[in-house]
Amino acid sequence: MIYPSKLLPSVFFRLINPNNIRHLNVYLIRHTPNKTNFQAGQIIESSICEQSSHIEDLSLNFYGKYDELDISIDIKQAHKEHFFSVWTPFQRSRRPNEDQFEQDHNRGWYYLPLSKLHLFRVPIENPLYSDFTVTCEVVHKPVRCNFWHVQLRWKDEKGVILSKKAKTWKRTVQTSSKSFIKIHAVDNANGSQSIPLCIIAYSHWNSFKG
Amino acid sequence: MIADLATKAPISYVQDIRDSGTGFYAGAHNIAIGYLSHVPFTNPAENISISENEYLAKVFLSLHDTKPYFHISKYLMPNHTFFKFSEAALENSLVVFNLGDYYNSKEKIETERINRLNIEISETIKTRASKDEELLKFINFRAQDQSLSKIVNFISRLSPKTYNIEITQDYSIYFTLMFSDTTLFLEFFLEKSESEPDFVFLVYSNGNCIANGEGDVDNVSNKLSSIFRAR
Repeated sequence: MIYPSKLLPSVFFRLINPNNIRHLNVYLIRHTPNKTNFQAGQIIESSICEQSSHIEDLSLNFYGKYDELDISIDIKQAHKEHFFSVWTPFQRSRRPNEDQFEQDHNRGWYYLPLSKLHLFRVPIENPLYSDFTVTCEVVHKPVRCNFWHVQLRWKDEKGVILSKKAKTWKRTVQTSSKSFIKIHAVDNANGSQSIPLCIIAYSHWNSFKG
Repeated sequence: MIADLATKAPISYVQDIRDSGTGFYAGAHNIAIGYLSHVPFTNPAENISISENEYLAKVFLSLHDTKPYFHISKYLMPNHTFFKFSEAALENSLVVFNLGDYYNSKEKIETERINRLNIEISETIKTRASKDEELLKFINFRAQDQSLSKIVNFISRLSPKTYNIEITQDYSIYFTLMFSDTTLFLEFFLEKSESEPDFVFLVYSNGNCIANGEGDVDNVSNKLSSIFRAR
């Protein structure tokens, strides 16, 4: 299999600001270790992410160009450092060779609606500290082999990422994130809309087949 | 009459059923169908069949079972009332349960439901723990400080419509309790931490987080009680 070029960043691409697409029915997709992820219509906890620590900055992908067929693709360990490093605008990227990635066909997936996630606020009560509001932010974080990669970030009012704020917040953030994903995760992306080309690419570039 | 023909079952066998026996009253007759939800089936297809006749409920059991048991689904007995056994008797391979104390009062039915839910949740956790030594250590630790039994009692009293229990990789018990218009997510971190709470909870309604909190079992139970009382 040849690594799909539709996943690669182009020098003509720019960072996607989720604020500009909140009004659209855009979905995010995340891979899971197994095909069975839902029970009685609700995602099972073990499918949300493989390691609990990952939930604090959960990786997902904009759904559209990146779709279910791409879920199985995984960069081999030895090449992760390069291909999973952050892509910066105007940077040229190289397609991973056949021996640099593999496929895991056991993987499954779930979807999350961007409009429900981005800037979602949870007021946190804490007896030891003053109460505050946590905001979930979808942050576009393209990597060298995947332009569509995004991360969830949990921030306080001052924009400080909660997991870095203090160790004492680990459990609160974990449960909040999991519960939030449980509420919103779905097993289909019916009616999903594509991200408009003008949001993805600079206007002088028109060769991208959207 | 069945009762005249019935042979008394061995005492231990009757006692076993009686101790765990609650179930559905089968109608106007002095006979009922038992409900032993926390005793597992071994081979129901071979050993058990249940009459669908609402007025004469009989359970066929294999006599060579040391611990016979049975289960009847609610679908067979839609208009049920809870009961307790006064006597169980055998007639050939028929087990006939004579109805003892039965009740229709909402309060008693609710008490019975809570008790059953309590047993169900406890058994689910024990079953998971039996397959994982590390988890079992944490469960035993939490059994000592009584936080596990306290929270299971509390959850049972909340009477969720449906619930789900998941054990996470970090050895926490993640409860999802669904009510008619709200969902409670409650995570119980089994490992004790000085800087972090034992419990974190969030209550969602219509996709919005309407309450959350953290603390030990007593703090969290008090907070949740007031939240659910107010709703």
